[in-house]
Amino acid sequence: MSTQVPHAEQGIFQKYFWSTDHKIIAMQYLFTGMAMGLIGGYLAYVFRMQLAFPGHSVPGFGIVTPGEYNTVVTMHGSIMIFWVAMPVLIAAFGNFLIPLMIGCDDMAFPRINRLSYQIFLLSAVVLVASFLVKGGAFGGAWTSYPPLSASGAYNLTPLGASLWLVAVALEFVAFLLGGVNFIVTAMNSRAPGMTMYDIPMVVWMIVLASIMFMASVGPLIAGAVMLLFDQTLKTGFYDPARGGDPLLWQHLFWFFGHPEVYVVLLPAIGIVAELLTVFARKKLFGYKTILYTTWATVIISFLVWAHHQFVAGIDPRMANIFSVTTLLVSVPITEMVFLYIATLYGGSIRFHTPMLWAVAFVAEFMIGGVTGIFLGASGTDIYLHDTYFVIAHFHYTFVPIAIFSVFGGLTYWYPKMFGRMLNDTLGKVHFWGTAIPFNLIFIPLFITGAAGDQRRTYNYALFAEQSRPVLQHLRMFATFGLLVMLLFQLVFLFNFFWSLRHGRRAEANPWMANTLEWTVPSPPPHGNFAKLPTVYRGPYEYGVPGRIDDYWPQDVPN
Amino acid sequence: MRAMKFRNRLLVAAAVFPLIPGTAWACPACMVGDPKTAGIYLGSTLVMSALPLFLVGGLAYWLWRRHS
Amino acid sequence: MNSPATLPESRLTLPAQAGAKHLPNSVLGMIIFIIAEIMFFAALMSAHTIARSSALGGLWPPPGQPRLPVERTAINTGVLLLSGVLLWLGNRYMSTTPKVGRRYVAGAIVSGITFVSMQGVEWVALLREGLTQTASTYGAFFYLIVGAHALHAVVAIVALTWVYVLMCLGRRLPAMFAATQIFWYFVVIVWPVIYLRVYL
Repeated sequence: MSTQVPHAEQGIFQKYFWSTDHKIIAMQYLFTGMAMGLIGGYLAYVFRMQLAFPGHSVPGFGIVTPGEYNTVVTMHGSIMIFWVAMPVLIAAFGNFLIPLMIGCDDMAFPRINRLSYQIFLLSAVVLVASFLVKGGAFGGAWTSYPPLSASGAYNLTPLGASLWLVAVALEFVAFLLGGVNFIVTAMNSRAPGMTMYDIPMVVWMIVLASIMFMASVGPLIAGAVMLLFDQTLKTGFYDPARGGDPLLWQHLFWFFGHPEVYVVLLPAIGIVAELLTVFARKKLFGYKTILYTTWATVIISFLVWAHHQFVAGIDPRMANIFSVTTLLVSVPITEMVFLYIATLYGGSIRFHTPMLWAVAFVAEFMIGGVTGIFLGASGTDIYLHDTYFVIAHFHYTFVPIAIFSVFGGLTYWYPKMFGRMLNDTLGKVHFWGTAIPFNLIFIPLFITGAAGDQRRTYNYALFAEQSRPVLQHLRMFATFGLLVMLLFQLVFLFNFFWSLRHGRRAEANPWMANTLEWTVPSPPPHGNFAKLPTVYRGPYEYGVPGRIDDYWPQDVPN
Repeated sequence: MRAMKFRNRLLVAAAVFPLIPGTAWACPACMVGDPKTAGIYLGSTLVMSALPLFLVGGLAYWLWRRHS
Repeated sequence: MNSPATLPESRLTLPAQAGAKHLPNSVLGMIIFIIAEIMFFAALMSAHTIARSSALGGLWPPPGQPRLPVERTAINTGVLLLSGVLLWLGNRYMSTTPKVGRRYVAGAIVSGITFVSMQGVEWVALLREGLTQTASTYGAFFYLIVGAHALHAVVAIVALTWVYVLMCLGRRLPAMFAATQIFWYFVVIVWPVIYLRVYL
């Protein structure tokens, strides 16, 4: 397999929009995801302002009507999970890292890879376009439960609902193609010498996440087709009056929806594993244990999905079983967190920006995990269900996953992606300006949720039993936290785009890391490796006694 | 037969416990449906949960056998 | 300097470049895709099972809805299974006598097309009898599941024909042929399950 593929000089369009190069496709996913992230952040701003100052005009949006509020909340959830976390964590990092880290020139199916991005872009366009149709974008919550989602008479966004489903289905087709690519590439294209236990953890995690995605997405696509038929052809799959069953959707949705949580969690945990070892200059503690606990997570994650339906009227026998499995899944994840802490123990830690994000990920994710226990137990869940406690819980898991680890990964691989260093001081300012306000947003929401604030409420003052004016201060406090957090994202955007042109030029291995992507120039040329590498050892040989260097790249013979 | 260790007895009890739901169930909508439908829901839940594990596990086992 | 010759013995045997044992990319990719497809159909079947068990008054098919043509479809099932067998034979002969092998593949394609066309004829008859997607969940599930299968069958036939034409033009595509075969076997094997659950 020659990597010196002679290629004609390509035009801008050919190079950046029609490329089959995995690095360009990764950048396409990254920038699309970042653009969608800006939209998602703006939507959060709109509904938090409405909750803090109900009835007042929101600067940059205007008066929020109840219908618009539903749309904004729904689209924030959908965008952040399906169009930010998934494309950035799996598609962008997967595309960029897998071929570079396992030492091959490109994906197994480069043209399918290009098709995958194009379908994804189409899905994003459909979703954004749905804001413009009559009635506005979908307003039936991101879980899209029928009968609310099945009938335009209920959700008041008949066109938006269908477009939302089409966009989601297209997006899943895109990731289906991408997932096949990741798994096959990682299995078949590894550099000579790279055994199962020499694969960097982040590659393992992305591949395992793809396997989970593959095995769980089918039911959701089936359910989405049925829901689309209910909306457009007026069938009665979910209509109890005509022999259908609305609970069916919840089963099909959460059958995918819960593994999906782990689909985005695993790549994040993998990124953090890379950062912790490089910046603690220490071997990853318990590589095999982490790998096996990840497999355990994959297996158990298929057995927990019905815990989303404890109050939906499922069989109590089922609820009890799923309570137990839900609490069980915390065991492997907890073990991973302990192993990460053990990796830090006794290391010579360097607090560069990526390391700050990695450590913050572990700390904040633990809060998310611990509060999940209250929701996993079906007894307490009945009280806490649909309150802001749930919101705060899953933001304590999802924000570390989709924000902290992504910023950690971006600041770490930025020199490899763009050939320039980011400004570390600005990076730290951005870190503290994001991590502190994040806690200021969601700790108050734990309290309001425990006090009984229902989620998806447009204006608490309109409901006598929900009003609780005493909590309004906490709601406003959370909104201020969000404003501060959003403002500090400008620092990141400035740093990102300024460093593209004016950052210090990055050498091949600025962090003194071991994995194969650091053996090629920054940014890597077309075809990645001038000569395909051979692997001699695992990826985490830092601080090996008896060596002068404290790192030992995978492709160095001795 | 030797009496089980306390720990093992605890594990068995924990495994059996979820199968005997108490009557003090707080969910108003649960168990009002047809028991036959409830059984089928439970059955298809079990099948659907186990199927991906068997598919992926089977593929992994097959590949492992091929390679070793 | 990093020539593979300097690799320790244990590292040479384990990894990806294991020669003949190595599954081609397209075959492995297809198997993984089939796993997702199996889950898709399993979800449709389980949804159908639940709708069937919770039918109003326990009557399935619902009163006033036409019965599905069980016998004719049984024959059609046989045609599809025959197509799978023909393709399997075609694969066996392809390495030794490609000419005979190609003939069997052509037979598989023709019987596949026969299956899909007979399904189409059956749909037209059922629509005339008043079985529609909106009439009941019975009809809705019938058209959804059988339609999803028919869609897969059509895609598989197109792919198989494409590979067949390329092979007739003298191209050697063992991996692509193998991947297409796997897809067609999936379409063939999933059908009897659908027949047993939806028609009977």
